[in-house]
Amino acid sequence: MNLPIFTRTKPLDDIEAIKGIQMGDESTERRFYLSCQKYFLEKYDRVFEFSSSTRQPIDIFQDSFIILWTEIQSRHIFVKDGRVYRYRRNGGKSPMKASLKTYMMAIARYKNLELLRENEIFGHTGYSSEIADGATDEPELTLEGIALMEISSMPQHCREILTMFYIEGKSLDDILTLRPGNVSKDGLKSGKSKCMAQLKTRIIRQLERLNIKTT
Amino acid sequence: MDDNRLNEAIQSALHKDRDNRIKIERWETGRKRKRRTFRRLATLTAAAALIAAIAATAAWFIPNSHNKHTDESPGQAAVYRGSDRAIPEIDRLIEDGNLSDALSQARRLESRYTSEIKLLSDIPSPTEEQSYEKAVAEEMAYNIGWRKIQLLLALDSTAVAKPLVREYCFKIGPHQSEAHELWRKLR
Repeated sequence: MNLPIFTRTKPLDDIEAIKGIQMGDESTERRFYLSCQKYFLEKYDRVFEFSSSTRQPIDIFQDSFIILWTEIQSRHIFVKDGRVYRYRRNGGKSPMKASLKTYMMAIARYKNLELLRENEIFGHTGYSSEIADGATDEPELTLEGIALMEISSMPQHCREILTMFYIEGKSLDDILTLRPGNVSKDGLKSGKSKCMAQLKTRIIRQLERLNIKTT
Repeated sequence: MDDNRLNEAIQSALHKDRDNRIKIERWETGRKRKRRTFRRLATLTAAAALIAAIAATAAWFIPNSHNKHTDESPGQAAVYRGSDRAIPEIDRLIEDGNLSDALSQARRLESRYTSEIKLLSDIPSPTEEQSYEKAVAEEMAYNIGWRKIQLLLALDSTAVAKPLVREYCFKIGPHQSEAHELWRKLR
């Protein structure tokens, strides 16, 4: 009889995780997800001084993990000569001083602060990944990769609306039914346009920062 | 920049983002299923241990010729490892008010089960029996660990107990909700 709960796998190191994720190996991705989750659950109360009442720690973990994951997928985080490097938002590249999990905790901390701020003061501050590190080297950053990075750090409602409309092909009426938070079709329409415009601005700004030319 | 190119990139990235989220959902479902399996197995193990304990108690009181000699054969000794008596022994010491002795006993047994779990975990392809033994050892270590926490608190070693309580908040098992409650009080 095969008992999957007793299987034991050796822990993933950062380089192995990055390479696996960049090759699209789902088993590595899954192992990485589960080990990050375990790490997060063990540490979050030491990282979060106050936690947001509107979201569960597991939601903050998933949002933070997705940001880290897409940074790896889009090669903002990459391995070169056995070292882990990361693109900074200002366009510089530098070896990462922190481990991936520590970096994810920094993202989570920032996300949590963002949520607290959202609850106390209105408005979204936008995600900034200027959190963890110090400049060197050349991976292939693509326009899609940058778009993915920006999408993963967009406000949740924007991401959902854009996905439903552009990917799932849902009409505004369908979205209105699925997302009861939106009051009117016009409001939703303008919200969608604003989200798309905001996303494009963020992508173009990031391309300029990184000095990437696209044809 | 070319707007069509940008739109294409956004579409493809939205696709990828959605795929990522679907994957996470799938992993979460898998993880939850695994937890349920573990819980079921733990319940079965506990039930089996209870039945074994009842059977052992009954055998003790039913007079028969086999119970008259006190020597255990080596075969029995190998099978009997005291797992069904470990917790009652600690509980007896607690009832007698020997909290320090109970704590030492709990520490000793916990360390024994922990090394057993480690040994069994290092087996690359465990047999069904080894897997079962590991599940039993994990269950025992879990229950003994919980008693250790209670004893530490009773002996005013709150600083030592606190991180252990926190660990129990994340361990799946019958004491998880108690651990959460305790953690809230200790925080």
